[in-house]
Amino acid sequence: MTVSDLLLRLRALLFRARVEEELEDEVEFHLAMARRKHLDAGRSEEEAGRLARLDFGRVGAVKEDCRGVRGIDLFETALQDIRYALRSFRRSPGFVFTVAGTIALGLGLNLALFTLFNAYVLSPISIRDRYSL
Amino acid sequence: MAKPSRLDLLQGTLDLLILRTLQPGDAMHGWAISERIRQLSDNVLQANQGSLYPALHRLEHQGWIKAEWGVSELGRRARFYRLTASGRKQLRQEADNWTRVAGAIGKVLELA
Repeated sequence: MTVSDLLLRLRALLFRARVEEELEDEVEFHLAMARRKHLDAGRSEEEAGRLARLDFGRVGAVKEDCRGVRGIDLFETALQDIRYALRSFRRSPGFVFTVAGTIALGLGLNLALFTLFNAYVLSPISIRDRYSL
Repeated sequence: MAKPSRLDLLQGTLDLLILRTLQPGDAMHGWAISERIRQLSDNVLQANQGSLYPALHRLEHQGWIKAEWGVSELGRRARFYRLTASGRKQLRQEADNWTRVAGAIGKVLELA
């Protein structure tokens, strides 16, 4: 991994919207130039646009490949998953309450029992006859 | 996941062509690079212009080319690419490599 790679990845991560906008502009510029070339060759407005897109190939696929180069899709997918999870939580609050309650209860019980176990078994007060206290 | 495009077989080749096109040192935008490659190859290399962009971005990540925004001849904002010092080195290596492989293949074809 080179320094430029690291910096570009970081930039893609921190300024996602901007990087995405730049990709959009770059592709848009190419299509505009191609359209102009076909217009200069005497094509109609509509035909020029069609030919420009045809030469370019599938715009969506190209953009996806460019995003792949950034190498932060793992992060982006994780972000999407988290958003999806939050949305489904909002849809079924009862479920969230039950799950959160179960976990809270489980953790609490665990902690309480361990505290007792720790006090009585693991680290009892070290004096000769502690029952004489 | 990235889907294989028509130019995938020529992936390394496209990188080499881009680096070579930028060799004179002028900053060029994607459209100009694509047109130059098409003209210089007598219209032979004109496959999917779109596949140029993932390649450009990949080269940028490798540090072989540098991108900056400028104003194009249309008065529009465009992304200009320029060869870096390490890109120049990479170009020499890859061009040598290509010549060697092409020469070797040529020999095999003649003999067969």
